[in-house]
Amino acid sequence: MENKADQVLSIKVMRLSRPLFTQCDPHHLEFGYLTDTKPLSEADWFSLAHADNDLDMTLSPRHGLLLPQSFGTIYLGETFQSYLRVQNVGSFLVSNISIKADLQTAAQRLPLTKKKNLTLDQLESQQSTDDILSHEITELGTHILVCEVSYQVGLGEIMTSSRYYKFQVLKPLDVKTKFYNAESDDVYLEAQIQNTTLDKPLCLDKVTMEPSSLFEVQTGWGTSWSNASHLFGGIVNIVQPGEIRQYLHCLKPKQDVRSNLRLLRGESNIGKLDLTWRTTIGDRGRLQTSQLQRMVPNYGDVRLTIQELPNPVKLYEAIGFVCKITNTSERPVELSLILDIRSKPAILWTGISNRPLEKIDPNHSVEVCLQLVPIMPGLQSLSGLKLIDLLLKRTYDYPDVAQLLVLP
Amino acid sequence: MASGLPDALERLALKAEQSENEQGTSFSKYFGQPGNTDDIFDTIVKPSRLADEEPKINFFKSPNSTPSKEDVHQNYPPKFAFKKGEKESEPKIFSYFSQPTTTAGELNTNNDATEFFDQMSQLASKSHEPIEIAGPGFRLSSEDINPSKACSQALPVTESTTIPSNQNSEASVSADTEHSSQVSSTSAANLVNSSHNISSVGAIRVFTPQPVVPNLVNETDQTVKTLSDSQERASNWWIPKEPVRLWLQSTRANFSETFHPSCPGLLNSIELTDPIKDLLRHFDGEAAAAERQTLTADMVTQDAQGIRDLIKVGCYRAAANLCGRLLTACGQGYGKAGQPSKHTPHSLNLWMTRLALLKKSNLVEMAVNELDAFGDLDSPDFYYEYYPELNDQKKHGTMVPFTFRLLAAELPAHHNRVNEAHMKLCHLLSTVRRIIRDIDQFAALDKMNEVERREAANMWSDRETAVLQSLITCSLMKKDFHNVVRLFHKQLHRPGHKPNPTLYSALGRVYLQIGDIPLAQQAFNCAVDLRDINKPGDAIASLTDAGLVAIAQNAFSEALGYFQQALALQPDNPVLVNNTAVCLLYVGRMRDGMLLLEENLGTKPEMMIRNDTVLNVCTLYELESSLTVQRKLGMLRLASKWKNDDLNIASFKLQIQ
Repeated sequence: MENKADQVLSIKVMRLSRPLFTQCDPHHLEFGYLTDTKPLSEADWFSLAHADNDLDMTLSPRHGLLLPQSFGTIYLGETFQSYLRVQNVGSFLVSNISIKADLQTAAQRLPLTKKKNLTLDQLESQQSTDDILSHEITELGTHILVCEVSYQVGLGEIMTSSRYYKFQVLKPLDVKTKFYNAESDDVYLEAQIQNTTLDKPLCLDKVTMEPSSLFEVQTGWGTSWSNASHLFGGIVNIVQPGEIRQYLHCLKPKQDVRSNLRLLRGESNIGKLDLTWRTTIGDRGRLQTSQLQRMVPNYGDVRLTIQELPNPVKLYEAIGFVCKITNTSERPVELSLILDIRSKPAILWTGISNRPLEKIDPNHSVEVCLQLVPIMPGLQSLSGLKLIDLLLKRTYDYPDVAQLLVLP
Repeated sequence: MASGLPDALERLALKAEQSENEQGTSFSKYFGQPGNTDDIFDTIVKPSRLADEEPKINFFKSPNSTPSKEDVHQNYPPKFAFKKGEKESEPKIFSYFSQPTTTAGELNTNNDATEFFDQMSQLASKSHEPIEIAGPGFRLSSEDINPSKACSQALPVTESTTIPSNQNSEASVSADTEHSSQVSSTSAANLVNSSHNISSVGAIRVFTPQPVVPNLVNETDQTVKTLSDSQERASNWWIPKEPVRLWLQSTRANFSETFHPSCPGLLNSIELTDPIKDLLRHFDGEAAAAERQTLTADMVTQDAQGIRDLIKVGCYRAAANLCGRLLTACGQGYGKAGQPSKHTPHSLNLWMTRLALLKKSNLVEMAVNELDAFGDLDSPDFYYEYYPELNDQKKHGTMVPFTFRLLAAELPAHHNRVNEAHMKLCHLLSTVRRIIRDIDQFAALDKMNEVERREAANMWSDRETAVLQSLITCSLMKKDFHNVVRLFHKQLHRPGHKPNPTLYSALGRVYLQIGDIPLAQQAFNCAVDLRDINKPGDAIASLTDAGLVAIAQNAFSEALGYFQQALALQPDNPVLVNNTAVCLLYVGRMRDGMLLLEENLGTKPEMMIRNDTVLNVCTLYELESSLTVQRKLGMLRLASKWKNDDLNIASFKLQIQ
């Protein structure tokens, strides 16, 4: 089918990655007596007298843009753009031309020509038709650009010719996530984003969280990266190949969901991370992670959370705080609150231990006011609270429910 | 003479910026030994070999003149018997050498640790004792003061470089420095001469130009910029590393084995050929190649002017060949590598020029190999003090042109050794900054007049900028954008510096290279604010910036609009033609782009044939289906008519079968 010698229509393809800035060497020769000639063109020899202007030679506008000289590398999320030129190189009129360009991946075959088939009535000798193909790459691995042309010379039979161009799509980023379920039902997402390209420093434009239906992203967190460069310490917002950047997102349950603990507990989908980046001369890439799953926290049947706790506190001064006890089980519970003191206490409880609490219905909670006295300075852990289910004789232990900064 | 002399000496001493307080003492010492008048000058200029002969009382460095300097106390205690005066004969002028040995440790530390790593930031304010920079005013040889370029060309292009035909009284100076009596007499004559000048000319400048040797006059080229006397002196300042300083200060006997003089030589006996001609010969045969006429090294005068002529017309390889020939004449030709030879400012300038030309001709490998012999350009034989026979010129400091150092430092970057180049450049920068700081210290000590201080400060801050520029290029090669941007900001916020739109524009392009479009836009906006929109040049610059931003946003048709607007303002600008053509391709009008380039290349070849335009048009030829090779060959033939070898033949994208 493909017989180049006979082909009347030639197919040429060129990937249109961004044009390059010329990087030229500065030739800032001081007026050495040998080299000091009036330069023929500005770009030849420079004297240090114009050193400041020479800085301008960095990626200079005095040197033109260069067309890309090779295919280069292409990464998932980037846009593949290509010039497609079909030219009549024969000496006869060619008619009934149909041009088709597809991108064949392991999974699918995507048409790239705008209309499914680009059709032309005729092309005279040396005439050509030009098109720019554009496709956002969404698959890894081998891609084959298939260009097929069918045409008729004179009244002869329909001829076809096709060309194949193969390229590999690589993975630009590696995203690792960790979740922290806070007592307050907030979810913290720590995302480690590593540049896994070989040679492309990435300018991470945007790393945002697209939350699932139950959550909203706390504003001020991860929404605006306009001053990202300041955030990352340097002056330049860039992730070099191999480098890792950490992002922290805070997701809060929506207000109406907050009370519905069961619904919240059942939800393991947190949302998706949206990443956009740019590389050389603004070449853009975009990726979205799949739905991120968290480990649903297991609160047991009875949940104890701290509502109000002054912080920091003074040594030896009694403080009061409020804790909230929620029945997350299906039945009513009757509880007794124990204030335990460990062998080397950092805090002392004030109040009655082993105090029975009122009965709590399913999905209801009570608030209990407690008092303690810190007796050791430093960051102390609030431990020793225990609840005993009087019916089932089961003990719920709550070590380390909160931290307290004790100032001397 | 007796009356004129003290006067003259006083002026000298003042000029010498050294001894403020104790001149009286020095004078009395001086006059106590009337037979030694000449030694004043000898101590200035002669390295220590002469020292054996006479006590070298350093006139300009009397014991308590600069109390802040410990070296004074070390070097001039009475325990030094006059007959052992070598120690005192250290070249005071090049007074980086005259650091007290006690400071060696600290200097080393600074060199190796602090300053080295303190690359980008201002030098730590760690206090060194003031390091003296060669003071202006020591130059007695009035020939150097000639305001023509002769001062830098004092050495004729012959083997006899060692004894420049100096004026009258010094004609008899012998290279044999042991003949102190002879030297004494000539110096004495010189002294008379100088003092005479001084008294006759009055106060403005201590020295007056002497008639220049005729052949130097002939060589003077009007286009050549010249350095003033003090500028040239400032230009030669350098801080040697500690062992070298010690070496230069010492008597040679003790250290004769401690360093190996650098022995450069050409590594290739075959001269470079014209690559375009070779390419033509390959494709079109000998006859076509013979039609190409370019200047070769044979067709110009075999001297510096010949090199200049070749460079002027862009025959870089031929110029490199001529440099090679002249170096052969200096005894550093093919096969001479490793053999002892003598450096002169002339030979070093030739080397620098040759290496720069090789680099420009993409012969980096060859340049790197030839550069190897020079080491770090900091061995004693690169200093004037090493060559007693040059002393009649009263020159001090390093013979290595600063640009040579810069070139040597950045060359490895083009040889895939970017880190090495980066390190060398940082080292260079730290030295330059030390010198800049010392200039201010000198000014503070009133050792330099204001004009000289400003000249020196300007020269060295320009050099600093040049090193920074190289560092930026180097960091860009490493894709170390943090460093690039930091350096730019430093340069933008230099105190007392007017904001420069081109700098902002360059910074914007760096941001584009990174991909940070908002910051790029910000930088370009700063540039626009500083420009005058009514000037076509400024308008074009702003349009170009806008075009580049549009390209970064993938808005090529918008970019095309900007470049077309700019092109309308300046239709002969090859860059705008080129960029417009590039945009045409990206909007699907490849043929229009190709025709635009072809038309401009054809009608304005002299201006338009450049690496970028040729490479782009040949790239488009590959996309154009028919006659690709013929079209490329056509471009080669066109270029061969108009261009000498300042065009990279890879731009033609021709495959040699």
